[in-house]
Amino acid sequence: MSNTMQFISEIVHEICPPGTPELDDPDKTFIDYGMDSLDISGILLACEERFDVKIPDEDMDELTTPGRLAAYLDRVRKA
Amino acid sequence: MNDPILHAIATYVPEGGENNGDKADRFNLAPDFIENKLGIGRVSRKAADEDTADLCEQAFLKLEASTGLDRADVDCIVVVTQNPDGEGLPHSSAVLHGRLGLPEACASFDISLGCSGYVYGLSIVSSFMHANGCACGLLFTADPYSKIIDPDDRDTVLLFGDGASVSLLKAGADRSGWRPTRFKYMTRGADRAALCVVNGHLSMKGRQVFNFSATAVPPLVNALLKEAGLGTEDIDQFLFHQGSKYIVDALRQRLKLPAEKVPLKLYEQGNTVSTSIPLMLEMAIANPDARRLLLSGFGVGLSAAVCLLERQS
Repeated sequence: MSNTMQFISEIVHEICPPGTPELDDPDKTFIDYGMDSLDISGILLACEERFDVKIPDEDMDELTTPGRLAAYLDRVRKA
Repeated sequence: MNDPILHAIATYVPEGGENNGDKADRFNLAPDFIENKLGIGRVSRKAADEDTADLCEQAFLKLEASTGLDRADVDCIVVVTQNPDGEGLPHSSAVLHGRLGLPEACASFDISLGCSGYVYGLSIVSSFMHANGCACGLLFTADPYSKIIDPDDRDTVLLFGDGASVSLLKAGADRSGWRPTRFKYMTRGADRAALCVVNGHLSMKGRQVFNFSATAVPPLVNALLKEAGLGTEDIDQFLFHQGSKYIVDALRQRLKLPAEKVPLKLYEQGNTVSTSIPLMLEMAIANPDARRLLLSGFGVGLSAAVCLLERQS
């Protein structure tokens, strides 16, 4: 698991409600993990703060899974 | 004249309202989202023939009954609102002044602020009273967002409720009550479009408002505490603007506060904008063990304000 993916897993554990499952499948959507729009906003903010990036609203549509979010963060940090 | 002291608060929440559970199917909402994320089971709604000053008047009548306040003694009234009576001219405080039959020597003006308005209002009224030798001032809040909410907009119709409050400040010999001791403010006007009125309806970019609240408020709280030489353990209760349960929970987590110090009061009426803090403050000051409170309002602007209130004996 990459460091970025590790962080996403940890932040989900920290800010999402108890009972939220482990992110064992990076291609499963956040919604299918039982999260809602507010949970996703919290995850994105934590990522912005941790990696010092800005995630524009228009990019949100592609960030539907933990794997896509991790790849996005790795990409914009290198840019 | 002494520094003004907050003596009493009265609030008014209209009887009418809409249950969010009734809208669950229409907006495809899970019950858990309503209960544990919004934390709002019902949003209060004023009657069709009620306007902003009417809500203030109802709060005033409760204050008058509980304190025995003599209307002839009131030196100034201030209404915090961005949804004033009618078409906004004249100002709601003038409407209220006439309705209550207050003395002609009583100053009356409105303050255009949203969710940070109560904290700003405390500072403004205190300063105005001090500068002008006023002995008795009334700070009203009433921002009936039902006037600007699009009933088909799930981002706002589930959140905002109507309500009003009035706070009695006195600068006389009676020093019992609560003294505002320290304030801090911040504004992020570059992001003002996150919460604004477009074509007559409220528009809210929820993620942007959440990001502002979660990142701006904790440092402001910590800066205020540092200036005052206090720690979070020195505060009996943190009264955060009740934007949603989710944002209050996020602030509590980020500031590492115990749940018992961070009250929630939005389930029955929703986010009542500048009235949300006084709704909690009314209960907090009734607790004889409470000595020091921290108030924090944040939202429209984007704007945030924090202050300390300390009980005077």
